[in-house]
Amino acid sequence: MTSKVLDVKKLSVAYDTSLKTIQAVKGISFTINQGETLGLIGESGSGKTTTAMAILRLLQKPGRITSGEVILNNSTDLLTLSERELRKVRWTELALVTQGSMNSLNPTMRINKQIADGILAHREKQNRDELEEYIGNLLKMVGLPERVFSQYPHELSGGMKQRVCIAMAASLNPSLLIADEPTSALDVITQRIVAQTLMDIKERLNMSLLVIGHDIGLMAQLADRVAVMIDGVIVETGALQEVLTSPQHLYTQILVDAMPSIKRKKSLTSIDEQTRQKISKSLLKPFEVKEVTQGHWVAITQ
Amino acid sequence: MKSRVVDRNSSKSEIAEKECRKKTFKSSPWKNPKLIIGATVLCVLVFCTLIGQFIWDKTLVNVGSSPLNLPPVGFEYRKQIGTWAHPLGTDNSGRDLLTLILVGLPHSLGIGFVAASIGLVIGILFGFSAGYLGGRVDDVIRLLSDTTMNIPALLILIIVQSVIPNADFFVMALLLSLFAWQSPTRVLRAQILSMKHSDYVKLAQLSGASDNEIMFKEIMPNLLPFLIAQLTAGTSYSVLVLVGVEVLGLGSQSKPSLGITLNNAINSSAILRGMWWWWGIPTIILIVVFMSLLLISVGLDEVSNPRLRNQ
Amino acid sequence: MDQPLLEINDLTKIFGKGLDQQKSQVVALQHFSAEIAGTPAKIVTIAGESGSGKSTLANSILGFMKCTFGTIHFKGQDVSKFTKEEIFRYRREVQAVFQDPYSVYNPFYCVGHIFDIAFNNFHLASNDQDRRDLTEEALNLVGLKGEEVLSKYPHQLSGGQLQRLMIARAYMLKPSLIIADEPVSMIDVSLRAMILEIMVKLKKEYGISFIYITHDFSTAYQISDEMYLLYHGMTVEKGDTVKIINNPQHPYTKKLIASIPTIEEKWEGNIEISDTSVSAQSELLPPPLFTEVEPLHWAVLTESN
Repeated sequence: MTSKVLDVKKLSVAYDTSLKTIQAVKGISFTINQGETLGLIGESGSGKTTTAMAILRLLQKPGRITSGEVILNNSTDLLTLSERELRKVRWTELALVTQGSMNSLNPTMRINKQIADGILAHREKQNRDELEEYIGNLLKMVGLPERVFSQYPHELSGGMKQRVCIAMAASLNPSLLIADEPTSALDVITQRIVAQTLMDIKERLNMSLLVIGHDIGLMAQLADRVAVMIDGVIVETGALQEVLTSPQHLYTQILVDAMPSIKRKKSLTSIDEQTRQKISKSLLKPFEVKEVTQGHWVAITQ
Repeated sequence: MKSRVVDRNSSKSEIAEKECRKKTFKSSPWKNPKLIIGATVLCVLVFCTLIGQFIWDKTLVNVGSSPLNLPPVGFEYRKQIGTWAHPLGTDNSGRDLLTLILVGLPHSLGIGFVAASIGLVIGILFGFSAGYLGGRVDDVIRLLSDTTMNIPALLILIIVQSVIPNADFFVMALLLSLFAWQSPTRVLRAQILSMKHSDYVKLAQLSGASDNEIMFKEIMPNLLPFLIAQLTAGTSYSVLVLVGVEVLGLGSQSKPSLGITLNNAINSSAILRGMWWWWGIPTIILIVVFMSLLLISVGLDEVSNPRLRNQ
Repeated sequence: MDQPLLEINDLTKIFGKGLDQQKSQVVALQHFSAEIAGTPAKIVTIAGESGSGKSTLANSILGFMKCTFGTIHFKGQDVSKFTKEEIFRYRREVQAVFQDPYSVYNPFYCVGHIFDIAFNNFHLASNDQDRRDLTEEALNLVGLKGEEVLSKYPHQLSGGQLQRLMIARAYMLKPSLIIADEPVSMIDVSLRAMILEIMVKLKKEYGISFIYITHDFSTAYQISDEMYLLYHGMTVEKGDTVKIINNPQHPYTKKLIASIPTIEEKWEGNIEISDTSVSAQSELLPPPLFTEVEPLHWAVLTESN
């Protein structure tokens, strides 16, 4: 029996605009087990980032959680916590790395100070030497050379900054790290290095990982299980290999087929906006979720 | 060459911006509350004064046409009770305050508007040449606008007034326009510099469009809100300078205006004598005019620059 | 022997070398040479990461940027010596599709505007009927219908639709070469294939050559015939696309190809981390020396090979 780190139940998020309310996330449910990496795949506007922000309760103003539960470590429902209790949970239990994280480093502060600030904000006063040693270890863990310790953000490349952010996120040993498009703004080689770092630190600290992204190729490298999201709905969940080799939902099939490869030439299946809209329309009607094989769930839509 | 990191970075934010654009387009950016309030107030004010020109007796601006020191309706001042014949009261030489406002406001606003328009036309010419042609032209225009921008308009006008004591409407407008072209020049230059390298301008070039076509068909329409914002800001600035000059007792004394009324009030120590309506009402009118002009230009700024719009 | 369609020789662009000698210069592109035959039409990929100089190259070919030295010849004529009329003609023959479909359209007009300016300036049609027919033909080719899209504003269409409209516009001018600068990088994956397919179709059926500028090797592998791989402004490998990707030679190419995430297999092991904070190329190097690794595949070989 594996324990669930995160159990999201029927989570819904809506955005209020002056004209109408838009449902961005429509009652999605998924779980992340201890030590597992779940990949949440979706294209632009699928609601994947909104989901992450809702889990962390960091939704921006017009957005609000309308219903659902987000249970952390089988005990606390994040959605019922007060702002003060939340602050304790964020960072210590739940950490976040986003595409823009590397640009959110304070340009006037040395790296060691920034990480120390993050730690001290949540922990009691610590021995200075111990703290420095701890930060040094963290940086080593994400594969950064020692000199980074006392450097400023502008002296680092994008990939290095992103790894500093991963180190910061991991600094309080959270049980779940949410990585929202962690490598999207990076070059291919840097992307691989950052992805490697993520996998590595996850293993070492025995964390669970929720990776959010649009690139199935990258997901195939990182994830143990994947969930495919479109229009605020999860249409398919299952073990990575199973979803990739025998995708059940039409949309998943399209995504997998449209993924170009450098291994073999294939005729890329093309869909047009009409097909996309047809899929979107089919998701507006209520649908059942069926378990095709063990742990492989598909939305039955028509 | 600016590295794709930037590009890809922006791709995400642009998607967000696109969504935002979509959203705001649905609820039209022109429905900006500041813009609507400002424009409504100004229109009502201008409309009222224009109507008033016809239904009110304009000869009441003349000295001695009415009883002296009459307070507004519903007030009593030194045993005189305000009457509906002079609803806003009169000054110490028997001029009807309402008539002063009815005649003076359009006059002041008119000078300001003409000055701002001339300034804007110069600004368009200079701004477009500087931004689009660049090089030497740009250097000269920038030097000219940057140096003249810091000269206080009031000071120059005071000196000029001593040479031309009775400047009429157009001379005054021309003088004021000398200080109204720098801001539009700078703003347009900056806008054009950024638009010049936009993809749609590149595409127009690929479609064989000429420079003129690119300037006036591709770039200009997108500058419309900027132009109107500059026009209102310029009007407001020119009116402010004009009133300033008049309050100091300079400028043409032949036509009544709000500034001259204020000057008279100050000279006759209206404040000490407790004749609050004499200086108070014109001040309030001016504040309302400036506020509405400010609201319009701030609103327009928000219309043309989505980043200023708060979510 | 026919003239090649486009011949680029030793093209080099150095930024920031002006009055201020203290300022470090950036060599964006150096010693780039390439030849695009035109017949048979081919899709030629210019591949590289950020800062590799591929956008500089695109801007130079399109005439938006003057190069420091080197030449571009179009059908045997030096592009930099073109007169106004010749530039006009060159514009018709060499068209472009840009990366960001949302910024290419003037937000003030509906999308049909891009067709209108092309019609007006190049006098493509003598009357309205011709105009409608030509537009409809171009739109059909990319799977769109005129009445459904032309009178829409840019924000009302999807990125995929806007990008297909761009291709339709380029096609309408019947160019011999289209520079496609990252045409699908901002499009959702599920809609990408359609745009790539249209490019292949234009090449096969209409003999239009493409310069496909991209950082995405997977799509290049699927559609392109030849490839030039840029690294810090320098060409490090060139030749047949499939051969380069299957058998990379330059250490940078090897690392790059090994880092591309695919759905077929997981990355093998870890690649070493080199943290030389990426600084832009500031030195002009001697022209690259290519070794023919196999037929139709040349690479710059370094000592480590």
